[in-house]
Amino acid sequence: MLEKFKSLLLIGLILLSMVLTYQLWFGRPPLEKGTVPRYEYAYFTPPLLPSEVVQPAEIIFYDQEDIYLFRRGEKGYQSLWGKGRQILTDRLELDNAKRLSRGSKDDGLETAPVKLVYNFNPPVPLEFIVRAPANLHMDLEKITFSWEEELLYAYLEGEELVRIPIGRTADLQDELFSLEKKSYILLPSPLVLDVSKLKNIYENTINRDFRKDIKNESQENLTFLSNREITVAGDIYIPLEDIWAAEVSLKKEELQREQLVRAFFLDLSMARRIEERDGALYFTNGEKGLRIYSSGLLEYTAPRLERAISTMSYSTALQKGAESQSLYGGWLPGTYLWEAGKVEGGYRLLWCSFQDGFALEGQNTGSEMLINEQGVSFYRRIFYIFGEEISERRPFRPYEEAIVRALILKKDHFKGDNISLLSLKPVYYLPGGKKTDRAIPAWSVTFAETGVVYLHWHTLEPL
Amino acid sequence: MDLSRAKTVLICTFLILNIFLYYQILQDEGRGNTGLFGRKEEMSRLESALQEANLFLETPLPRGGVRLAYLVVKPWHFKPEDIIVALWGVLGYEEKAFPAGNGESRFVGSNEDNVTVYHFGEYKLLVSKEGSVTLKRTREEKLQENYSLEESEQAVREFTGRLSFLNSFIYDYSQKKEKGTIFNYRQEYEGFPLYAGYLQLLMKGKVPLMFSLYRLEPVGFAEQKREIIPPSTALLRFMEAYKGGKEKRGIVEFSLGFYSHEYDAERWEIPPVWRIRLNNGEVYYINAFTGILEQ
Repeated sequence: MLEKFKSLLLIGLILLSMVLTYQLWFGRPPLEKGTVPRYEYAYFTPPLLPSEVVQPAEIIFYDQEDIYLFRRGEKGYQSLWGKGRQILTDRLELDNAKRLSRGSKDDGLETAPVKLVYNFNPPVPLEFIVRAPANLHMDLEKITFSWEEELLYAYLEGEELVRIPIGRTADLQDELFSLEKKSYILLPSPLVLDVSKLKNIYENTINRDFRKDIKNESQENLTFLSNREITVAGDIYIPLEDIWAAEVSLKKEELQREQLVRAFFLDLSMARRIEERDGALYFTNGEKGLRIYSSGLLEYTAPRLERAISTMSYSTALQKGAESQSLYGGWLPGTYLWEAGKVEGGYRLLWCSFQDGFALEGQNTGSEMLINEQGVSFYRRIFYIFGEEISERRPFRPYEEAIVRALILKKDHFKGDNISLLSLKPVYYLPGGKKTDRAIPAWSVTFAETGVVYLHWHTLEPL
Repeated sequence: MDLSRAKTVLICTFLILNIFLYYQILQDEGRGNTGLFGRKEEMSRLESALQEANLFLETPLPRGGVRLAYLVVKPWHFKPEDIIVALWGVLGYEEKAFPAGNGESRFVGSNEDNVTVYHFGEYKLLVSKEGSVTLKRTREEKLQENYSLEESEQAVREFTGRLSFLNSFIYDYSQKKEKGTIFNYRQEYEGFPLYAGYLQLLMKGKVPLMFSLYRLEPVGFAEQKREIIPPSTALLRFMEAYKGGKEKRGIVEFSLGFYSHEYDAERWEIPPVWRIRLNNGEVYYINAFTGILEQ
């Protein structure tokens, strides 16, 4: 029995010595190769399809003299865009594309009585929607479907204008008939404030609390207003009927902190944690840093990835940016690409939340990203989830009053006679400071001379 | 010899051989070597990288193979007035010249770019919002030119010994400069150098011209331990980031400790680092978890 045990032990020791000799001779793989674990990106939400990365800023249906508009996050917007996209994907034959010069006889765009326009701001790369040949690269600012003698045509507009026949299809018309539509008007340019009504508009515009000042200032203000001509830059559409809205409660999105840190650093143990005096948490590996403020705002910087020159294309920046957004917190419903532009060292992308066609604007909302071939060098994010209405529903004050109010508020900024109105739209405004629990409906008025002015939707007080 | 005895002898021989082999493996892992073939490859890689970077090793590479966790620290809370009070006597001022009043009322600091400055005697004390303290002599005067290093060392020992808030600092190294000699001290925690906590003293003879101090309060190690990169890897990573000149420099120190920047924070984690000190006085820290040069 003992001899058997000795034999087994000896065999075991011989085998072990062979294993140890092999290990000593050949060693373990070098640390850089051997112990780096395989990491997988843990996306908060699945990455978007290319066709979902850029969506229209607005969809406008022109039916003879009538104009109907659908904004992001509004009822009918998604289905209308879905139908349009489907037609483009399924039926668009780029081989039949005919290049047009703008304003030519062939360009039936302006005169078409019935058309559906998808406006893209920022532009959408053509390859995001259809499989495009290499020689037809376009960043589209506008896609128009036009019904001409019962045939449907698609106009793709970017740096070039292209017309492609689609043929007979009733899909879009059926969709349009089934939708509840709101009528809009296009603001004329120049916009002339009716002098006969100006006094009424002016008095309605001024809040009761300020009535006492009216006597002293009214004449001066009225003179200032009546001598002005407002150039409307671009197409600004205003609803014909009253816009009803109420204050809405907001809840900050809550991101799982551990997953978030892992998204930026892959391995939690690679990021050291710093508890800052203002309550913020800072994670860094010495090369990049992620700061999570007590307000919920997160800010990521990777200075080494900033590059002086970037050769990245617009479409790659959009795709990579959208993928990074999925990774760094994910997509909340109602989040849309708001701005995209080339900056020094890459692209700057901005995303914004929308509810019922209103963008949530303010000092600290949405997300911002700087991206180049190396990756994301800067990211800032704070999103809010819309809750219930928490005030009485009231109509927006008429747009003329909003313009008048903004003009009076900023009258010192207007030096010349001409005023340029860049945009006028109803939005939700997020106040700064600690009052971030509610969104206030507001007119957002932008003059070239002043920048944006937010006015309370009902009192027209500046926000 | 019968078979049973032969077996016993063989068992003992293989047992000793296995112990020896296992010990060798442990040794190699400790040095960061990766087997005889790997070692050769790595050594030649290191040598050519050193040559390319115009560097040479004046010190052997230490052992690696250590599992470490982040070191959690808190800032040292202090009142600048207490430091001034402690320095008053040590710097040779008479007690009767001490400003009247109590506590903060005696010294009023002025704010300059996130630094509070206190003037007293021939010195000014600068306190940053991160908690670093700098003492500077304001009066330019002709000081003793010829002095021995021993004299300065003795003066430094006396200076630090009389200030209780410096008792957690351990002598690190000194550098001879044009203005005088810089004596570097560091903190330590459980046998590991804490480079992030430092005291630098510039001495001209027996007179302290300047000192910089940053003191930390170690809380303990974080829970999660992980393997640190071997010194050879750290050296390679350092050379990738090192931008030296044409002059050949020697690496005079290669050691393991903990280092991070100064933060205006409540509490933070400090990573283990490989400290690489060159003979021209430059010091670099390579994060021992990530291999990134800490800047």
